[in-house]
Formats: sequence, structure tokens, C-alpha cells
Amino acid sequence: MRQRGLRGGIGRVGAYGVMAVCVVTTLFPLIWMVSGALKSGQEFYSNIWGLPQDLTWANFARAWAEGGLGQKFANSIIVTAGTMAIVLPVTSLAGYALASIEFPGRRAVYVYLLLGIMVPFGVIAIPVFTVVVQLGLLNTLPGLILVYSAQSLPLGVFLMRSFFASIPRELEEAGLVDGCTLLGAFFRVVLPLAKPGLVTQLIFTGTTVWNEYFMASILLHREALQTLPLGLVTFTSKNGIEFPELFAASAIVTAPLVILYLIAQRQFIAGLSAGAVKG
Amino acid sequence: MFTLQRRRRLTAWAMCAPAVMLATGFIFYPLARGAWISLHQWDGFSAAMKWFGLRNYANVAADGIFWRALGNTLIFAIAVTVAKNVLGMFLATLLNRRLVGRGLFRTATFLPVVMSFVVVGILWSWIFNPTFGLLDSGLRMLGLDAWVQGWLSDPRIALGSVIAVDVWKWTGFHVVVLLAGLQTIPAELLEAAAIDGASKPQIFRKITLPQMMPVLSFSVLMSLTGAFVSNYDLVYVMTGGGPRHATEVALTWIMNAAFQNHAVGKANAMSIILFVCVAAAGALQLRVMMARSGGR
Amino acid sequence: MKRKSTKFPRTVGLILTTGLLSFGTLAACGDGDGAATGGGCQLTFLASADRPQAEQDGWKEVLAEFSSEYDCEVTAEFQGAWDEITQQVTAAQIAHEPIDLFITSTATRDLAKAGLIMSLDNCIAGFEDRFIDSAMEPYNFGSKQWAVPMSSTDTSAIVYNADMFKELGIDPPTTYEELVAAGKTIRDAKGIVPMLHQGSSPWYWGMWFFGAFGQESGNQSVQRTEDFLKGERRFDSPEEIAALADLAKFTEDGLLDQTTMATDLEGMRAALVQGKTAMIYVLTPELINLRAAGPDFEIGIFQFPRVLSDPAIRQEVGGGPENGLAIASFTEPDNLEAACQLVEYVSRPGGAASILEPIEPLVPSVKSVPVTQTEPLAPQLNSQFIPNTVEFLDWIWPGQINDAVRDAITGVMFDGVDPAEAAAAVQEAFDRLVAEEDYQFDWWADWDGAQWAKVEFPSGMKIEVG
Repeated sequence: MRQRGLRGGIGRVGAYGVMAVCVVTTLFPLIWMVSGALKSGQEFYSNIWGLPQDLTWANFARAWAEGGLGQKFANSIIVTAGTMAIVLPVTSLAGYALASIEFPGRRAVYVYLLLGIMVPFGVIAIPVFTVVVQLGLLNTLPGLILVYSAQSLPLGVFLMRSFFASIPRELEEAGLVDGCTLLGAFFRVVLPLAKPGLVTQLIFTGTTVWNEYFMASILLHREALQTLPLGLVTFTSKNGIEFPELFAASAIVTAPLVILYLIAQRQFIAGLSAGAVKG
Repeated sequence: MFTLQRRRRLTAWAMCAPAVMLATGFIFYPLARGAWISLHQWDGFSAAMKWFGLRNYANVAADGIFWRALGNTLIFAIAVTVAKNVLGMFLATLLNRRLVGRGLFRTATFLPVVMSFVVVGILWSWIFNPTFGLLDSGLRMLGLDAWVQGWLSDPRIALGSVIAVDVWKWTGFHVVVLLAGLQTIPAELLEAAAIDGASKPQIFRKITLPQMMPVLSFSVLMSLTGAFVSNYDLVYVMTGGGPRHATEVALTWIMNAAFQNHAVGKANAMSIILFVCVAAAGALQLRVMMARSGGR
Repeated sequence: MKRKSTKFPRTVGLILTTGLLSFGTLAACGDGDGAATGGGCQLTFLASADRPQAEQDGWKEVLAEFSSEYDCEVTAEFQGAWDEITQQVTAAQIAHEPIDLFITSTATRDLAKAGLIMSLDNCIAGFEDRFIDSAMEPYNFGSKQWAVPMSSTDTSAIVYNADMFKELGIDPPTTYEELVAAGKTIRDAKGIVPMLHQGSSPWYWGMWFFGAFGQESGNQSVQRTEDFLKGERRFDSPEEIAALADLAKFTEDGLLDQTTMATDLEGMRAALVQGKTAMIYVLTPELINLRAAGPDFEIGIFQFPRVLSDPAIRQEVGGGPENGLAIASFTEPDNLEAACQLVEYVSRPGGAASILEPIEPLVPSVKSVPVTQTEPLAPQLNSQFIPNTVEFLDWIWPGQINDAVRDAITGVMFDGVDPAEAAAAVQEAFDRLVAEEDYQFDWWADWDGAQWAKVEFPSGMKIEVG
């Protein structure tokens, strides 16, 4: 027992050490970004790593105005929320069908969707553009939303399927016996158990979509429709980057993601410990 | 009974239909179109494409830099997959214990995930900067002058540096995913095993790992395919593929061919080759992991 | 636990609802701005969004003035990065979007070759002398003018820390030998690498070759490059090899070291500002950024050093205008006259002043615009550097050759590659390019009447010259 306690103590110290190192290396960039956003253009070059001498809060206002971030913020929220609104139900339905229902072509569908993970999207941008044009969705947010949804879908299906597959069959069957239809059992019994999968998607797809630049630059040619990443371009150019403004704008762009994560992770982890099998 | 069976089938098909349609319209049709383009000589804007047969593929086969880039991609993929998952598993196990401040830790490790590639790329290329970089001055301060390296300028090291940054950026995500998996393992199972006198490594191998398989295979698949299909931004911002193609990955070289050099047919041939490679790697991985998880 | 598990679906529900609502309401927003409002005509102007705010405002102001004066509404769109303009224009053409005029950059030759822009000779005949020749030249090929320069013109210069030079008693060098001596003094006295280059950006290695080859080719670098691209000259000719050998010496003589390979534009600037290097070889817009970064020392400029002793040979370097104004070939025929009138309008003294003066042009491409007063080195640039500036060779050669030349330069500088071998590799890249992509430099020679008809600005249009 004593030995165990000692080892546990050392383990605990080691654990805190590891945690401390991780926290420092991951918090540092955020601090650097915010402190860079508060420096003057001059100080950025003379005082690269230090904290700002005078806080130039005006950088945030300038970044907001020059980048036209207000409108872009609204567009980004619409695009991200729209994508989630498509991806979450579509992947849940497909994932459940693939995990729990025997039907002809099941394996083929699964493999087909899975192959989508392996497509490098940057390279097929030209044909994707053509499809969007043919659908008359160029320069529309729904066009971009559909493309984002399709591109985040394979991973989501894979994820949801593995969650559904790990749910004990008895639970579903209990639902069926209780008189639910297949879909009824799905919504009432199974879906709540796959929450971690949904949150994982929410976080991962949400982040990816929020930060996506390339497809947006190809599919949206109207300033009024642009998303936030397109706004960041304002602060870069052939001849260099306006660092303080870029960092201020980046901080503005990143903040909602941090907040989203802070909200989502509590429910994520909490929902998990409520555990499927215990329930 | 027959109609029930049939209804189940129809329901299943209906449930999959939206996913299949979306994927077809915006992934596979464009991919097929890309495959078609790869059989042509095309600059990306001329109205007419010239039929080229398989010559683009022959040309790619003769392109030494492409193969080097593909090799780098493979190294990149294996390295980040192993590092992210081993590190992620380690940190997730750590977080699964009751430790003070783990909430802060969990949040902190996730921050790099949400930061944009531009900021991350600038930050790290400056940390690695040979003239005023934080890393080298830190090493000098600690008296470790011998460790000072051309982190991004030495062709032998540069790829490793970029890999390290990618691992740094994404490990937090894997920690969260794996932690979620760890927490779904029923405590009863672990307790029962402990009472039966199983050692910690035994418990890990016999209970934790199999229970974690769905989550772990997701995590591995993500890091693996991500390394093939979405490492463009980071590499582009940090090194642009240099020095002397030491950090050139398939995607940077393909995008260069397509959008700088307007060799769109050739670029599509390269991406089809890349796609086949990723599909092979992905299939292999899934096969291995599914076999281990009992054929699920 | 239960409480929390009920909370989550609500969050998702909220997102779902907002998402679906927005999806429904926005489905129709794409064609909202299609209706014409101006009485006369309607034009769309496209430029990248990464230009200075002052420049964007200048454009908007002048375009608004044009709108009211000519009863022709102009929509200005600022979108994307400067090097994406080719994609944007191609996309617009495929999608039948109404783009009439746009700001082109380095890819003007590609755009012309693809038939995406008009040749402007008939449009600008009445006012082409408003622009300085050296800025017009890069947009002139196949004996046609494809765009007009509306910007400052770049050239290349070595920027140095003048205080450090003074302190160490070094005069700005003219010859390569003097540069090496200066470098040695700096290295010995300060323990820093004397020169730095933005080596991690693939695009800027070429400028070293332009400097060396400008002299080695006997000031015929543009001609020689065109010959090479026509297949009439090999890149592994003695002059090209000699130029690469000149560059190899920069590292052998300790002027540059490998740290350059991991340095980007901002890193190079920071190093100079912090006194961690003494010289940087840059495109001249860097002067503006450098001033903004606030160095606590004087800066000076000198030309790429003499690598040949023959005084008759000028120290030529590469340069070119930042922006060119082009007319899209897929514009409505009815819009052509208005589009050309707009080109005329913005290049009038008043219009050009509104657009160019806010960017404090070091070398204004429009003659009526004065050189900026804020940069003390601007007069030296105009008198000493501009006469020795020829078109950037990488605007002439295709991307594949740029990649190959970059590999050749970094090879001889940092990898011990023999200059002759490096040059041969560029020649191979060219041969491959011809075999793989049917590359043809003078595509205009083979164009038929129908192709020209699509891009030639019609003659006889009434363009008012103000």
C-alpha cells in the first residue's frame, strides 16, 4: 500500500508536470496572437515575443471596419449553422442505417461513403465549382453550405456508424417492442446515446467550416456574401502582412470557436459519463 | 414478416439516400470529372481540353518531385498518425483521472485546433526562425547550443519540424475524442477486471483497447487521411514545400501544378494517384482495426 | 447527469432551426443584385481584396465619379488575394458572371493566352502616352497591349542598414568584390549574417537570377529569355551558367547562409529592423513596409552588384507594375465602349491621382502622378534604378520554369550543385514542359482570325479623352 501511494504520488507530480507543459505550449499562441493584436505595427517588429508596451485597442476596431467583419460574421454563422443543420441529421440517419439495419447494398453504401474521406478536396475544386454553377448556386450561401456538408459527411457517417454499432442491440429492440417504429426507436432511444458523436462532429466540422478559405473564395464572388476567412485576406498582400490588424481579426474570428468549444465540451464530457450501458 | 422486412429495407435506403446523394453530387461526380480531366491536356481555362490518353500518368510517373512529395506525404502521415494517437491516448488517460485543473488543461490542449492556419503557420515559422526565433534563443539560454538547428532551413530536419507543428495543432482534438471513448467504458468492467486480479497493462490491453476500438479507429483514420488530404494549408504557410522540396507533400505539389503552372490535366492525374494511395492506406487500416475489434 | 443530457438536444435543436431557417430564406439571395438601375449601362469591376484600404477607397471614389459623369453604374467587387485573380476571372467566365474590367497581376500572359482579356490598342490609342513606358512594356507582348498599368512600378534593390555601414566605415558597394568585403567586415564586427533573403517564399528566388543574368547576358536578358522559351536558345548556354555561378559565390563568400531558406518576407524585415542582418535584396515596395516597421537607423539602397567589370554593361534588375487594368473578353459587346471609357477616365490626371496618391507611389505608372514625397529614397529609385529595370523574367517564363530556376539557384547556393548541371536541369524542365503541355511561347503567332476577333478591341469607338 505504501509503495503504491508513493508511486501514485510520483505519478501525480508527473501528471501535473505534463499538464503544465501542455498548457504552456498551447496557451502561448493564443496569448501571442492577442498580444500581437494589441501592438502597434512598429512594435510588432521590434518586440516580437514580449507583451505589448502600449495597448493599441484601435487595431480591433480597424480590423473590424477594414475587413468588413460584421457582415462576414453573419455569413459565417449562417454557413456554419446551415452545414451543421444538414450534416448532423444526414450522418445520423445514414450511420444508424449502416450500423443497425440489414439491407442489401449496405456494405457497398458504407464503402462508397467512406471513400469520400480520401478525396483531396482542394484538387477537385474545379469540378465542384462546375457542379455548383450548373445547379445555379454560385454566389449563394446554400451552394457553399451544400459543398461543405457533402465534404464533411463521410467522416461524420463513419463516426456515427461506429457509435451506433457500439450501442447494445437490446436497447433498440426494447424500443421496438415498446411499439416504436424503426425511426421512432431511432429518435427516442438510439440518437440520444450517440451524442458524443454529434458533439465531435459539431466541434470538428464546425471548426473546419468556420476556417475554410479555398472553396469559399471560389464559390462566393460578392463582398456581401463573403465569410470570415475571406476577410482575413484584407490584411495580407503581395508586399507583406499587416500583422496587428491580421492578429486582431484572427482573434475576433477565433473567439466564437473557443466559446463554442467551452460550451460544447461540458455537455460532451458530461453526456458521456451518463454512459450508454448504465442508462 | 415479409412486409416488415421490406419496410426495414426501404427505411434503411431512405435513411442513407441524402448522404449518398450529397456525396455523389459534390464528391464523387467531381472526382469522376477529375479523373476524366486527367485524361486530357488542359490549362484550366481554355474552352477545349485536348485528349491525352494516359500520357499525364506517364508524365507524372517521370516526375521525380511528385514521387518525393508522395514519399514525404507517407512519412508525414505515418508520423502524425502515430504521434497524435499515442500522445492523445496518453494525455486522455491522464485526463481520465481526477486531477485538479483538468478542465483548464482540456480546454488549453484544444485551443490550437480552433486557431487558423495562418496564425499558427506564422507563429511557428517565427518560433523556428534562425535569426530571432524563440526556440533557438531558448536553447542557447539553457546552454544547449549544440541543439540549435536550422529547424526549417535544413532539408534533413524541416519535414520533422512541420510534422511536429501538425501534431501540436491536432493532438488536442484527438485527446478530446479519445477521452470521450475512455469515459464510455463501463466502470463495472474495469472494476470487475481489477477484482479478478488483472494487472494494469492487462486491463488496458484486454478491456480498454477493445472497448476503445470504434473511437480509436475513428481517431486513427482521421489523422491518417487528414495527413494525405488536408495538410496543404500548414505546409504552404510554413515552408511552401521548401527548402529544396524537403517538405513538399503531394498536395502542395498538386496545387502548384494546378493553380500556378496551369497543368490541370497533370494535376488531376496526380490527385487520382494520391486518391488511390489514400484509399489503399485507409482500407488497410480499417481492415486491421476491424479485425482487432472482432469484425464489427 | 440527467439534467445535462436533456440540455444538449436543445442546443442542437437551436442550431438545426437557425440553420434550416437561414437555408430556406437565403436560397434566393443569389440573383438579388441582377437588376440594372443606372439609366445608361452597368459595369462590374473586380480587384483583389488584399490591396491597401486607401487604394480600395481611391478606386471606389473614382468609379463613383465615373458612374455619375457617364450615367453608367459601376459595381466594384474586392475579392480574394492578388494571385487568385486568374481563378476568379476564369470562374466568372464559366459562370457567365458579368465582369467587365479587372485588376490583373503577374499572370497577364496566361490570361491573354486563354483568350480572357481584350487587346487594348484600339481602346487606348488616344491616351496611351499617359503611362510610363517601362510600366507599359510588361503588358505588351505579341505586339499588342493587353492591360494598362495603374499602380506604382516595382524594381529590385538591396536595402542596407546605413548606420551600421557608417559605423563600420563601409561605403555602399558597387562591385561584387566590394560587397564581399563589406560582408566580411560586418560578419567579423557584428557576428551576424550580412545578407538575408525571403527564401521560404518560392516566388522571390528568381530576382537573384535576374540581377546576375542581366549582366551576364550583356543586358539582353529579356531577349535571351524569349529566345530560350521559343526553343531557339538553350538554358545551359554559357551566359546562364555564368549567372548561376555568380550566385553560387554569394554563399561561398559568406554573404548569405542557409538561414535564408527558412526566412519569409516579414522574418527578413524583422531581422533587418533588429540589426540581425545588414542587407536585404527586395522588391522596392518593401521600403514602405520597412519604414512602417520603424527601424531605429537610416536605411539606404544600392543596386545589385557588378559581377562583370565591363563598365558598358548596366546593372539590370527585374521590375514591373503592381497592377494592370484589363478588360475581360467575355464582357457584353455593348459594354465595351463604356469599359474603355472607364480606362480612359481613371487614367486622367484627376482619376489617377485619386487612385495612386493614397498608396504613395515610389514609381507612379501614370506620368501625371507625382512621385511620393514621404520616401526620401524615391528620387534615387527613379533616377538610378528605373532606367536599369527590365521586365521580371518570371512574368515571361511559365510557372514550371520558375520552379526549375528556383531549384537551380538554391541548388548552386546551398546544395553544392554544379552551375552547368543546374542550368541543364532547367533546360530539361523546359523540354518536359514542351512535351507534356505543348508549351508554346509565341502562341499569338498561330492564332486565327476568329480567335483575334474575340479579343481585339473594335476600332472606331468614340472614346472621349479628357
